[in-house]
Amino acid sequence: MKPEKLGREKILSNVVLIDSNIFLEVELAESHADACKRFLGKVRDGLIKSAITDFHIDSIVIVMENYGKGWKDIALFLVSLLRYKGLRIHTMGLSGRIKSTLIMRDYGLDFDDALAVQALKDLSTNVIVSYDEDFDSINWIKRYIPEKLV
Amino acid sequence: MGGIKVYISDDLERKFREAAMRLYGYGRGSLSIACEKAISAWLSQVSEILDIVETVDDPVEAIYGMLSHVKKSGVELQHEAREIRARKDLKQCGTN
Repeated sequence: MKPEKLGREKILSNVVLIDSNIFLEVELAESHADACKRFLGKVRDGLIKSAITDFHIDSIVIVMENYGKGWKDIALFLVSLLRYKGLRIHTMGLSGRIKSTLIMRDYGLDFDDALAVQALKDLSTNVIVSYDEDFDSINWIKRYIPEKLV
Repeated sequence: MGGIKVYISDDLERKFREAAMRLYGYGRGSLSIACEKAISAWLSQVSEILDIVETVDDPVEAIYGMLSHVKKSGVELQHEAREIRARKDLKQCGTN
């Protein structure tokens, strides 16, 4: 087995948090789409255990609606989430939102990013799959892009 | 009464056993009570939409290219969501 693969397997042995931009890249079908599709394919097949928060799902829906997508496409997106064997939906709740404000204070993040950090804590993981470099300011978080994982 | 044998990660098993026993006691049956509740909760979430879910064959292909008319990156769109949310809330405040 290649050493590189060993490292990759170690990263993916725990649950990873998926950021909204990974799904959005597939919807955009641009340069990152292929890597994101392959990554999400592994989540679909249950080879990668992952989670996304309900808040980040809503963010995707808001973007879709803003760019003219109607109920049918939004329903299709939401329904498709149930088809991933390796994806669970993490509900933030009011307490999660309140705790996120402390992360805003401690790390100087905006609310959306702070919610993701709180979700990482809830899930006992430090791995987020995202293209958003804002997370790089937090030293205990390991951010990976799909290109590095597939 | 039926029985199901399932395989879950060691960590989840440990957490599940601990929570079930703390809630329902350390005697026999605690795990079954917790399991039945968990399965019922999951079923209530999915049973009504099973017919719709079955129409999606591949979840990744299903969403591919939905926003291909938008010439922005995923991160840009994600950050935009915050602004859209704020705009909508402010608009609602204005109309109320």
